[in-house]
Amino acid sequence: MGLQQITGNEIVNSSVTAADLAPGAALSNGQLSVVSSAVGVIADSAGGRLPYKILGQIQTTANVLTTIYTVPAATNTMISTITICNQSPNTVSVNVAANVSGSAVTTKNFIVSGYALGAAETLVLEPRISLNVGSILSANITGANASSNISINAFGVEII
Amino acid sequence: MPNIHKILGQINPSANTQTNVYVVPASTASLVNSIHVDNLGAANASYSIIVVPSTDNSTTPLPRHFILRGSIAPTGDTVLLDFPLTLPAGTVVAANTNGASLAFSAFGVEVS
Repeated sequence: MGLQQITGNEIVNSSVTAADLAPGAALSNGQLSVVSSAVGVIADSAGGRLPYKILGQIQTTANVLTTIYTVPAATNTMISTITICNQSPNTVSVNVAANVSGSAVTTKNFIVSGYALGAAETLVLEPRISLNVGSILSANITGANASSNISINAFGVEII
Repeated sequence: MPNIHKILGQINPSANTQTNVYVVPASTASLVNSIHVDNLGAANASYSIIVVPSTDNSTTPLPRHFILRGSIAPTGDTVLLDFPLTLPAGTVVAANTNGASLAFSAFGVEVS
């Protein structure tokens, strides 16, 4: 059987109702069928509209690798800024790591290692790190003057 | 979803009085592009800046809320903090200083 030309009149159905267009509903004139679920949509969630976030705020514990932020399920994240504020009276050593879900932090994961941050100083990173689901951003304050009085803030965008 | 570029907030706080520079409005997210700290006085001044999410109490900030604490603004100088801060609705950006000579200005974009 050869190809047959279909005219506009042959696919017109003047009695289309909302029910016909409901997700999964099939609309047919006996020759062509349209399933409404075939039309893709992008969910416009509140998070999708306004994605700017404070991703994490922590006060560190000396010599303990602490999670700043974990990427939630079904989300990708771009970290724009990390601030590390030394509220102690001594210089401390700053370490920041990013690793994928399910892995332990090893040497290869560090993006900042052994940075000497003076008293009352703030280290500002603008790393533009892109993280996939479950990835972890963490920090450790180490060295002779390791202190628990360091605040770390991460800012960025979650893409849902 | 309009993007409005604007002066988000400007303050000249009293000494040792935590004062809001900017509060993100409801149903809005904001990108703070820069904060200018201008010392109009004849002596150096120290200052702190906190960022408190709506889920926390901004009147009694916790250590984790500080992005700068005890930083120095030299007399006659302006400190330019030009790193982006991505903030959801209700977030408070506040400042504190040991004198009355500092002017804080925050600039950025509101998305609603």
